Amino acid sequence: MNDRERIDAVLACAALDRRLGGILLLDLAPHRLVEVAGRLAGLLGEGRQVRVLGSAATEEDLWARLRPAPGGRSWVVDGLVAGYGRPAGVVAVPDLATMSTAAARAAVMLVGAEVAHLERTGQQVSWRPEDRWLAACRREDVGRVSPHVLDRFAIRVDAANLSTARFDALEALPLAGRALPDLSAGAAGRVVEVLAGHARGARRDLGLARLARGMAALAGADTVLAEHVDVAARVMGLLAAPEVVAAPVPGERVVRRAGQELAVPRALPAERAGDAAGRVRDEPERLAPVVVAAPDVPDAVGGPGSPYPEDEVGDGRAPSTLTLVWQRALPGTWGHGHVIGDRQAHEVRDIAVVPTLLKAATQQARRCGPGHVRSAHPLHLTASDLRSHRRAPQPRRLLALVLDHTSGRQGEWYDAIGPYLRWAYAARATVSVVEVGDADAADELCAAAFTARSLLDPRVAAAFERRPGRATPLAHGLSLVAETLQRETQQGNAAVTDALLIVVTDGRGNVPLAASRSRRRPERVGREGVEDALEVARKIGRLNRVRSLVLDPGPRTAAHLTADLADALRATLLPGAGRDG
Amino acid sequence: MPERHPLLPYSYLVGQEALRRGLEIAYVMPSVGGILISGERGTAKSTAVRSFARMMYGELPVTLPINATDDRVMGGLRIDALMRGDTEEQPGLLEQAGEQGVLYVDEVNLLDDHIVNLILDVVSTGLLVVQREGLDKPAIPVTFTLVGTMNPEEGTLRPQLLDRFGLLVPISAETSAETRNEVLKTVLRFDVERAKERSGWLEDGAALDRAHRERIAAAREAARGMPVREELTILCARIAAEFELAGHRGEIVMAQAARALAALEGREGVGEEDVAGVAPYAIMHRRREVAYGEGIAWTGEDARRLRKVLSGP
Repeated sequence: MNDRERIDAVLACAALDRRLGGILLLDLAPHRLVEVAGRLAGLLGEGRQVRVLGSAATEEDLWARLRPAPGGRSWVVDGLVAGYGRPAGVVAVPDLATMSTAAARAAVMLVGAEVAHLERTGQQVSWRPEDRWLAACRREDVGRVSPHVLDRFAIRVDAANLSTARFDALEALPLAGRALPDLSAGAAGRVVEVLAGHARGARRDLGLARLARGMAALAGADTVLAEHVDVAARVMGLLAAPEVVAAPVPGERVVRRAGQELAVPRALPAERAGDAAGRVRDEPERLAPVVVAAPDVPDAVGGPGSPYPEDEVGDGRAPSTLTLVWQRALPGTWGHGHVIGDRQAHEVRDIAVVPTLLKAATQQARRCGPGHVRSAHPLHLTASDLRSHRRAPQPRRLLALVLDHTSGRQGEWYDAIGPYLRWAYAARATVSVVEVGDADAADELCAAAFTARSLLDPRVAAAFERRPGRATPLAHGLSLVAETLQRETQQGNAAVTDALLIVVTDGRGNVPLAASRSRRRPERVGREGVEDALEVARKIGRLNRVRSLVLDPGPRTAAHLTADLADALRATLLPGAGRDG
Repeated sequence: MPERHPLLPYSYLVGQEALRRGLEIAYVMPSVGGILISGERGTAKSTAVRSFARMMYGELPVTLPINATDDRVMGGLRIDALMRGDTEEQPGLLEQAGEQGVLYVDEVNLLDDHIVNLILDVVSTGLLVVQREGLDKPAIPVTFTLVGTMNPEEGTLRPQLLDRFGLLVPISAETSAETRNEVLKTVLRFDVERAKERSGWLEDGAALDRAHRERIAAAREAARGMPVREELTILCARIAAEFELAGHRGEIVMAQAARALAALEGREGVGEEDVAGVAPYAIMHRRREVAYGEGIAWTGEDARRLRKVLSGP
């Protein structure tokens, strides 16, 4: 099958089965998606609509666009994805990687769901979602998409070579009346076999099985067999394509596996349609034997060309979050960031005019009385009507420094970390400094931390000039910086998009974490301080959006401790200026 | 009359025993204070909650979706009536949940902080006060079982909200080939059966659910009068102390959940095995480390510590 045929077969399956509601076309050029979506809408039925979700879609666009009707007597609800009270359509997402947070949240709620609920602005509706979501995304960008969203798009098809093929010229497929066949035990087993070791929850299994069922339905089978699973797996790129030798009837090819032949729908031709009563033909024709080159073992999922590129090791870019951002009231940031919604206004700044007028519109008749509609005067507006914009935060960057003053050679740090300090200055990064082993610390068992708005804060320069103390509460220092990184980058209201952690230490922590927290001097000093530091470092190593560097202070005894710490942090080890090679 | 949203019968759910038992405990003993189900994607969290609610309450749970606005959560005035110039009150989800007895929050960690605060206000005081949009209603006593599901990949919850869930059940995807196979066959059969005018398979499932409901309802009755021996309340307190739980809610929930488990297992009294069976779910989200943003998990080391406490001083 060429790309168009494979995609058309998948679209036909999706039209047959509403549960195939999330399809991701990998490497499809965004401008082609609407055409493909139009084909799916056509397969769903006459007059079905395609709704396009771009990167600017807000909650209001999606769920409840209020349109006061002429005369102010009524209003219209026309949310893009609010699928109740209308026939199933197609929701097209031209680029999954740049989809707005609101749209991503909607996808998580709707794609493949049995029930959807809308509880917004006086509306209370529940319905069974039937829209089919069709998205495109470049393979290299898949890592930026929330895994939660990707999971909803379990059906994947490579569309890289779909350059000029036209979908709008395809013939109609008579899909009405086709019943879904039963799944055989062999087919269920084959699904599990094909996705062996790569299951990420049940949706991939179910997606492949339902696609196979769709293929079986298109082929007129009354039972889904393992061979149908193989066909679906090949369409998705989970199995290598077989060598095709003969095309026995127009639009149908025959492949064979394990001694059996199987008719594969290319794109269901009109002559293979069900009869007038809606029944489908009993069996596809079985014709000449063919040579099959398809292996029985699945190709490596997650490898090059895999339909699940997110399973590969990431490129370091963190996936987007679905949590609504909390607007930080940083000085000078009002009115920055793009609009992602609105909320009750608490100040007369950045007022969202249209939502405010719409809110006020609901109260006009009550405020003005029965003559309101006939009278020509401005809206009655009160303070409680005011809505302000909810804006995406400006991307922020964070430089986190852990300075172990007991590791010596402070003066030589500058050269090694100079480029990163310049980056922090240029990016106007917030600087969080954790100091370990300062001779003048209030409590030598504890590390100390402060956060500066920029590198120019004089406290940052002073932190490079401390005298070394006797104790090295490295584990405590790392736990402090872990809290900061967690808070700034991981929580739902995080606004930091890029955090750089630089640890300058020889790794010889000699204060256990419990001793720092209890502020009780340990009875003896063993490896506990080092082990605690490594344990905390491993937790930091698992954080997203954090890049880590460890500065090696140079040749010394137990030099491996720094390397161990770098390993635990998954950090790059930088040779310090003291290292003479 | 076909259902508008037919769901898989609860009795046909495959695997996820801890999740199902947690839901049953939260129903049998409402004073446990609800349940939070934390699991990776595709683990049937929502399906289980909805199927359970339909089995026990005869309808879908009152559901607070992540796109809810505050007027629908708290209650307000009907907008269509307002447009006509009339004022008609519209009860909010919290009030509806009080009537049904359960509030289900899907993807609870994706809720807007503002909505979380509204829920916390009502859950902690047991009173719903609606003073907005010109309404000034007297406080309504509201109690419900809070059921939440979340995918921890999207971040965790604030400790205040975590603590409001009596139990936390972490679940993971079923990985055995046998179970995955069974899930596939069940779900795809359900797809086919639900489209039929009449399905014997679904009728059988409904009958199983009715029997299941009667057993759980009987357990709820039995749990009410079930005493907890003093040595077991002391055991709960010792476990809480061992794990340095914040506050006392952990040990109280542990004792209440142990009663529910004993009743569900058909025992006449609460035993140590019941406390051991529920302790991890009452403990793991109340440990101090959670406040530091560290992951919520039950490790082998935790199990060893629990066994040590259970084996006596």
